[in-house]
Amino acid sequence: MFLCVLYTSSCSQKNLGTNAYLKYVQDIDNGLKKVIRTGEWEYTMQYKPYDYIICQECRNACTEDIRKERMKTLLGTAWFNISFKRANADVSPLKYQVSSPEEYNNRLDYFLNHTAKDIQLIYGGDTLRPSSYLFETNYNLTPQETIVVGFLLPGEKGQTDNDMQLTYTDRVFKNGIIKATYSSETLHKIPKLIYETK
Amino acid sequence: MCLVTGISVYFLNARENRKTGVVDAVKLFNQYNMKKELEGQAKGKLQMITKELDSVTNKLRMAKASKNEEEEKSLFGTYRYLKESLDAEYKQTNDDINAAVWKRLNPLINEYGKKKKLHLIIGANGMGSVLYNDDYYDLTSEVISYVNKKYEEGN
Repeated sequence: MFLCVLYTSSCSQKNLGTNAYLKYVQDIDNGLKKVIRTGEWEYTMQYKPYDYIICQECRNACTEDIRKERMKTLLGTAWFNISFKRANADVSPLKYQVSSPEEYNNRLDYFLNHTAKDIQLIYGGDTLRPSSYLFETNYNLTPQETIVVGFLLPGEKGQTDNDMQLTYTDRVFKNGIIKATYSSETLHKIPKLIYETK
Repeated sequence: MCLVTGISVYFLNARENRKTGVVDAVKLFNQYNMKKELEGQAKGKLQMITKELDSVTNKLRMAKASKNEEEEKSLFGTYRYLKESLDAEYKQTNDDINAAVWKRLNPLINEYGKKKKLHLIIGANGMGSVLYNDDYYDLTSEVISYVNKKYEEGN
């Protein structure tokens, strides 16, 4: 009896309100956000479940129909944010040790147009290349840069539920390969979001 | 029976209380997954230059055999350029891999030492800093598993 209760409580998904849900996804201890430190550099790889994306986009302002429509477009994909910064730095990483405007422009061009080829996702047994890539240029206003990357999952129509490993090879700052693994167990534990209707 | 258990417990405790360890730095470096993968990525570019160099070397040999001095001179220039490119690329790749790997390994070794409550980890590198250590103090395999797990999982 005790074991049954323990089993069901450990496997069942929780239901959370918007704020608690966002906090859960962004909490390192829950395994959806990985922080990799190398030298002075810090890389964050955040997996973004569908409800998290919708939640961020809507902020409770969407109707049920809009949410459903958005969910349909997301099914069968996997989305991540890759952020990087230098510890205790107050300028954009793109300006780090830049010796000329040309070098800065080359870096910016790389992140705007060429980084996608250095990113891959191992999903189950498949190696996937990004189907969508966006470098969120912040015009040097923050000391952190973020890449948004999305993948089309093979033969998937539903939520992501296989083991996933995101890999990014940093060719600009020469910090090697940055990896983040998200186990299927971690993905199954993601709570359900209770949408607050107005 | 009691004596055997007592001795086992003593040795287990002694192992738990170990405060110093030795890690074979060369083995650790070579068996770190990121090092192997970065080498794999660099291989393509190096192989491409090597192939070009081989091709020019063959042409140069033929030009020498046919005593075509003009072609030989021109090919020798190309050969020298490719050889220098290959050497430079090889050196740059090695330097980049070394730097990236140790930048990642150093904090992880630190973290491992703290987690295991060690006071000292000595890096053996075959250069004579560690002349001898027995298996008891050898943490190489443990550290290799630790850093590779951290690398693959991402924290």
